[in-house]
Amino acid sequence: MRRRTWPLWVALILTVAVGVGIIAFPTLYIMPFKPQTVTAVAVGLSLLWVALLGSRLRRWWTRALALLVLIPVGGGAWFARQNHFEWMFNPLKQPEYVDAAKATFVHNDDIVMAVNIRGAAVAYPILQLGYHHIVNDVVSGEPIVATY
Amino acid sequence: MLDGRRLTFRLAGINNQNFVMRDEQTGTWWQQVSGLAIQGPLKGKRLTLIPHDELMFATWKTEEPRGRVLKTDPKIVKEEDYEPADWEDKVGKFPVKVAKAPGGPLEPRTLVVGIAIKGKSKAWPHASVLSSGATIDQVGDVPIALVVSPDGRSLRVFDRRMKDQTLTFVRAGTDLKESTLLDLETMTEWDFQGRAVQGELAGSQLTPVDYLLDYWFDWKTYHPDTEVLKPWTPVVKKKAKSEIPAPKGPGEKKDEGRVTKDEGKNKKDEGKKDH
Repeated sequence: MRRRTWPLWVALILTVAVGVGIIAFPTLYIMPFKPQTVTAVAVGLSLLWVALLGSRLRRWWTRALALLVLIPVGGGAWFARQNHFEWMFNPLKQPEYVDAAKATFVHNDDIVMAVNIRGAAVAYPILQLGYHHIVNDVVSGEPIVATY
Repeated sequence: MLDGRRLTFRLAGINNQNFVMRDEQTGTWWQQVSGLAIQGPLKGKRLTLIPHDELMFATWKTEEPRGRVLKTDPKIVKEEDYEPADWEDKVGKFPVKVAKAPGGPLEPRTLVVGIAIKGKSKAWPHASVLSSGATIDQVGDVPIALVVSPDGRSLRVFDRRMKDQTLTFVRAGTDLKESTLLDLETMTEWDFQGRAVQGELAGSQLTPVDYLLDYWFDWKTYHPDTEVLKPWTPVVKKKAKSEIPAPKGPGEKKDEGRVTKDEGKNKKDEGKKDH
């Protein structure tokens, strides 16, 4: 099952088309050696007026305000691509393991989550799982995820 | 692994105090405790639960001397970000903020042992189970035994059916460390791994049953139809006879009067643990 993405594409293409159109229409229409009607010139100039909105902000505070409006837009686009849950709990990119006898960092009375798949035994200490929450692993060729 | 596709999971959110993970391959969001895909291309699929144990490290090391242990990440150790030894106690005091209160005879954050078999589910207060040494009960029509290890903390659950008979287990002895697990039918002695070590059934192996250590509120969310037992205290031999409390102790069948059947609509399967 794939999610339908075409509505998003239509929205994106429309947005770009409108942006380009606002500049393209007055530029291509208001040209030497071309006839122009009164209405179309008015429309073209109005579009330019919209396009030049930014340059009409002459006072420092109107410019600052416009910038402040843009910051959340840019910030939002950036944050959507971040995983703030992984800021809190760093994932283990390359989980490493030691032999049972050498695991001195685990206390005898600590609790471990243990699996044994076809004779291969692995222990995931709860205090570590409680932080990372997720450990992707392969045991006896079986891809598993230990979660807590 | 799902339908031949290998997925890699990352932490991606929280839903009613149980975390949500996301796979890198399809971007689907999965509920940790149920293993169910809740949003995305694989919505509705469920991950297969791998049989697992929650054991005391010393007990595990004795059983699996050649096993491997997840290593700590030096960076996290340096930043002292790993959970402290008393972490579970602290989490046990966290407030419970969920969309729907669990109700039932237990406080929402009571740790329970939850078992779901063939659409039937039941939960026992973890502390009561540990204090009992061996608890016999049944989930639906499957007779089970919740067996505490001599270490006093590790727990395993077994199907009590063995060759045509249903066994009644007791922990014999006053001290858990030196107690032996016996069945009353054959007086065979069993170990914590479910192996018959001495007696008529010697050499037999009990079938383990998956269980989930979970908070009551979370177990109830994913098993709305669950039955639940009120906390009980085991019979302890005391000098004054009159002080012996009414609830029944280890190895005795729980009477139905203490089983609360809660109302609910749908049933779901088990997963791993919540926090």
